[in-house]
Amino acid sequence: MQVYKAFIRIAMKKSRSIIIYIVVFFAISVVYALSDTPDSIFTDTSLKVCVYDDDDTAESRALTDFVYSRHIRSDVSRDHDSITDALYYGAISGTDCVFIINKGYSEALAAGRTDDLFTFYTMHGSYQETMMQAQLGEYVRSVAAYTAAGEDLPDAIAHTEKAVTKRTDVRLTAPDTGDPEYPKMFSVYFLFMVYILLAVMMNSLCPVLTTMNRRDIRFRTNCSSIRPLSGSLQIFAGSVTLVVSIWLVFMVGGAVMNGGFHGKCWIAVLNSFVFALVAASISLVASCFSLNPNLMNLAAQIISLGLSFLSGVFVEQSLLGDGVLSVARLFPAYWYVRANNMLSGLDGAVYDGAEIARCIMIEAAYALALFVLTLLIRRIRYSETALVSGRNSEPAAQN
Amino acid sequence: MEKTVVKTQNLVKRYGDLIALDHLELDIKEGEIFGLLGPNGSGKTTAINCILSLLAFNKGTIEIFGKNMTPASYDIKKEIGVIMQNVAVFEELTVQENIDYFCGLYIRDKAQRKQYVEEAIKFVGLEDFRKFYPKKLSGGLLRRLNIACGIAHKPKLIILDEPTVAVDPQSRNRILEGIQELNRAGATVIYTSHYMEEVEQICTRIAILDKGHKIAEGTKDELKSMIFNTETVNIEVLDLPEEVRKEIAALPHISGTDYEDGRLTVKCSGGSHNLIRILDVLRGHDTAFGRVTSELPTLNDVFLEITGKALRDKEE
Amino acid sequence: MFLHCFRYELTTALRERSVLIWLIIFPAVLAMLMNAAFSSIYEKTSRFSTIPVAVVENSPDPVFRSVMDALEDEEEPLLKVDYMTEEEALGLLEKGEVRGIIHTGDDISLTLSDTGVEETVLRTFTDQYVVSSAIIGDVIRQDPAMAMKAGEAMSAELSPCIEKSLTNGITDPFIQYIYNLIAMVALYGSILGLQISVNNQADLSPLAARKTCSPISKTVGVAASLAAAWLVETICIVIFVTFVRFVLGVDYGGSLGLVYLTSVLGGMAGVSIGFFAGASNRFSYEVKLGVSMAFNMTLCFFSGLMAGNIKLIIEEKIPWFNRINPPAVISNGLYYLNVDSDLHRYIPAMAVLIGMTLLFSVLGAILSRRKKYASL
Repeated sequence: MQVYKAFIRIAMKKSRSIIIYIVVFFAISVVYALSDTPDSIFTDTSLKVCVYDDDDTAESRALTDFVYSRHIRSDVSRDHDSITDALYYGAISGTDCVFIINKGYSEALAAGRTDDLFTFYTMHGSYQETMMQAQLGEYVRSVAAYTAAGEDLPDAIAHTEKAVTKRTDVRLTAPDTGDPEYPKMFSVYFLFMVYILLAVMMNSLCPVLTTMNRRDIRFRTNCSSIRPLSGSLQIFAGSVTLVVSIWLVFMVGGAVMNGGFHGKCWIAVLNSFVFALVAASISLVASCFSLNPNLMNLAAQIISLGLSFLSGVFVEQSLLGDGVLSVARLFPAYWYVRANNMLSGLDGAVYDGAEIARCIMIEAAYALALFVLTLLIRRIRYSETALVSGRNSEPAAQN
Repeated sequence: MEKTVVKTQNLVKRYGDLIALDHLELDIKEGEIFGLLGPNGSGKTTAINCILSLLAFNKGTIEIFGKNMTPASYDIKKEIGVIMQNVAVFEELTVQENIDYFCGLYIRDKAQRKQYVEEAIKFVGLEDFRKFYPKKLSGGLLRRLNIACGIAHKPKLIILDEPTVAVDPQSRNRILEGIQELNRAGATVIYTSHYMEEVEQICTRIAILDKGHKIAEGTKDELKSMIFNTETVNIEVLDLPEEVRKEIAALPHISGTDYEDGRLTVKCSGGSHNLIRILDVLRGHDTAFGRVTSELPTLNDVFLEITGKALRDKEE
Repeated sequence: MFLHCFRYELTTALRERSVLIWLIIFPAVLAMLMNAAFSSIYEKTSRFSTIPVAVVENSPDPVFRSVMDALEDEEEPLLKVDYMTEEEALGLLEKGEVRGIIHTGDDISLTLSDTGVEETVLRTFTDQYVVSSAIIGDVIRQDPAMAMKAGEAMSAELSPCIEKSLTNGITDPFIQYIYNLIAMVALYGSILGLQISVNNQADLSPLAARKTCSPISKTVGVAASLAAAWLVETICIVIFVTFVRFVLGVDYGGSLGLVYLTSVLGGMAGVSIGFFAGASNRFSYEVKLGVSMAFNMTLCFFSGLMAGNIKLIIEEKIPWFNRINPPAVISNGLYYLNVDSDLHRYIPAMAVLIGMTLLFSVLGAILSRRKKYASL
């Protein structure tokens, strides 16, 4: 048990930085879960619209009110720079459309002229613009139809407003998200676990393992009466202790946030546990290479951010390019996210128990494979250094 | 009269309540190898850092080459070479580049610098390691590089602060010989150490510091003459009758005797031919004796006698 | 003497591997990841493109069919229509190969699988058809004689909207993340800036103590270090910008020369900030590094490196902060180059960067002139 005890003692020595990591990442994931899910900006079919009414007549005001009643009003100050900024960031937040009701709108409408009534500021050639223009066109067309049929302008507008509220019947094949057992906010918390678990595991487990694997310490351990297999197993036991503790912290944090777990949540918990093992085994592999702290930090950043970006944590899987997705399928994080999406209905995914089980199995297989890989690397690297003792790490010259 | 190179007067340095230097007075002459000896924490390094104007001090004056030393005394600094306790070289530069860099801070002329760097490399014996990075050097070689960086510009005053800490004996001897060689070439040397053997070996004059206080100063012989014990004689005697021991104790210049485990220890103070007289007594009683050794006092004895404690801990 | 110091400062900095790691490799990998993750979002969500749709005819509807045919003849058609049976359509919908199914017959209805923007456009289209039918019905009920006229008005070619283009630049807002990444690399220059104080302040390293003992004046030594740090940062950021432009093929919009200028000015500001941070306190190098990295990442967060809309929120609440927050100034500078037709917003931003560089360099120089140290 000596090796195990030493492992835990070293982990305790580094506990301060581990705790800092846990606190920081817990804060990040809570903020991330509480903030708007990236999902909403694409499904929100009400646009954020800004209307400048240059005509300022009863008719133009009626149109303005009508637009604002169907969409979300966005106030943009009327100068070129502000409008540019507002529209530029439209896809992130901000404003989808900005248009002017040109002076002479009501006169033109009364006279049956329908050209050049609005001035649109354009940026992206986006759906949002197309949609807004189509709706305005429909409005004008309807008013023109009613006036052509002999109605006066106020009547025509009144009828139009009534007519354009007619909508197509829509049937959704997949019911929209929102499972009370596994609310969206909570599933985002679990989605973010990919990044958190990878970053925390790599930043806490790797330094401890690197210390344990240091050449001089390893040699000294090898010289002792302890059997190598027992030594390795104790190190793994230590890693498991650390990993499970870290994972538990996040689960307890999640339980507090959500007020306990119910139903489907438990599958998410299982999913995250398996992924914690994956993250731990990635750390095991990484620590075999005895990188210096700088390179280790780099590896941790690149692996945690990289897997998160490519596997649909920061950006939904459905929005990733096909090339990216086909690469992502090679990573365990992809399967974790896929299972989580199916559980919660995030990203338009549909619940499929068998498929979720398959995803979790794939993750488990990755954990196992990486674990075996670690054993292999340890065997190859360490037996080699033991035979060709200190070929490259000794000082080149001793006087 | 020789010229004074470094002169400190009334130097006081406090760290909060701790007095690191207590009215330190030093007067170091041209051509000396001046040793600053003292245990860890006695103020040697603090004194050096004050002399170099790195540290602010609370009271006193420091003159080098007869001029007041300030952080902006670039003309003085030009003539000083410093070898600090910590190895101060660039990890990213090779041996040759490191020496060239530091030499270049003093010597503008490129051709001259090139020659000086070459000489410094030869001087410390790093010819085979020119292109090596410091990381690849062993402890002793690294120390030698550290020294080369400090002396390449041929300074008139060389200050070495414990340059041999953690150095193997071979490198240490080489370093000590080197210091003497530099001194013969005309440099004044200030040398701090807590290895009294080193100081004894090379220093022409020594000051002993304790708690920031200069407790003694002089040549090593002067220092040794300051203390009571001048010689300790050890003789292996299998069986020593008590009356013989008493007779030896009664000899002139004998300050004490001790007999334990077949070993007679006699402490002498002053006088000469002490050993012969002791052996005469033994022979006179037909007492058989084995190996005889005689130890002259060390600076440790000096320190021990003045402060009542050893100069350094046993384990170092 | 300046040149001698400068040369060696440069050599050491360029050989330091961690500089390479944090100023080139890390941002380059991050750029690759962001590029991979973000490159298709814009195309998939915002850019208008033809929507594939299935039509299931419950009973033949020649009017609807003619409308559809007319629609498909347009240059950039709104919909790509395929006629098929209900089962086929549902299958394609599930696979995501069509975005919706239009059922024609007595009433037009839609089957969708999602509630995205494309679905909304589709719905707007069918709504339009439904509304038109309703209006004609209305008019016929009131005065059948007028139906003809109303019908003409309904089907008349309309162009009520004039479009006014705001910019010729790249309109994909996700390029912002790349701008912010450049800003991050610029701020990472503060690592080099911190190194200046470590290499010149005797109380921070034995090396600096040795240098302080030499006859090099502090001002010359520090100036050489600063100049070398600027140059190294410039080299790193130029490599990064070049990598993103020519290897990843990201178009920054705006003149590439000015993009380089902005990055270089930003990098110099980053170095100077680090220099000031290093000289202004007596903490150890590790503490200084930790604190400034945390500080830098916070500034980057506020300029939108992690969440794109943060900068907008700040612009609304405390706009002056966006004018002086270095990463925001840098990323905005790049953004102005992209969207603006002139430099009326770009030049003030660059002036802020230059001002900051000067201010922090001078302050740092003044602070590091302190010559004697209370303890080493």
